[in-house]
Amino acid sequence: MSSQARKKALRFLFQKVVDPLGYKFSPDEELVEFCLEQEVKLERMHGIPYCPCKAVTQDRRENMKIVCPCIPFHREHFDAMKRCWCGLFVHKDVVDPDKLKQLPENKVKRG
Amino acid sequence: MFVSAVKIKDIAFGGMKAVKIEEKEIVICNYEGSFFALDNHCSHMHASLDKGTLEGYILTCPLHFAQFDITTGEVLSGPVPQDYLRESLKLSLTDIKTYPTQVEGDSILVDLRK
Repeated sequence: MSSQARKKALRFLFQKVVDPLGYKFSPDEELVEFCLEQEVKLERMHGIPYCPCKAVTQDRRENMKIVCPCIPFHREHFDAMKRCWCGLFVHKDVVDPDKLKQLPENKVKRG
Repeated sequence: MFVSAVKIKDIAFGGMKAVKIEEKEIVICNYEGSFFALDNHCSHMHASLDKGTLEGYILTCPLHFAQFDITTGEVLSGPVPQDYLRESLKLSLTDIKTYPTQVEGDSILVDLRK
């Protein structure tokens, strides 16, 4: 089971999920490779590709909200930043992901 | 030696079909108009892969959701979720044997000797 093949598969599967949500993989290829590498490791450990930037808890219900791509569970928050928390996915119109800032969830204005 | 396995019209785009040839069960998958043949049994618990799902080139086993690359037979992910599997089910997975295919007329041929 090579991690390269699994990363390619995750790209293929995630692309189909995030595209209808208005997101794409970040143009920062190094970051994408790094995040996917971590997800492959998490998947080997837990069987599920959790978000590499958020802590897995003992609560399965909560953990389901951080299964990558977790955009539907954090839509308002991510839409405000135009990126997911890791930066693995960005809004389709984003060209320079370095200009996007991480905002704490409680700083995002509720619409 | 290539032998006729199935008619092209029997496998829709993104579909798959199990066939038995010379006592061997194989599954033939249609990935974007190209056909790929591999053993029909998952290397984990021998579930029939044609009962699983085909998403692009990724075939997912219906039993414990192991995934395989139909173009190479390579294991892409193990049975999941690992945390919830009994020890006895935590078997190691091996790649699945693939077979060369070719299209002739309206039929898909498979070479089981390779």
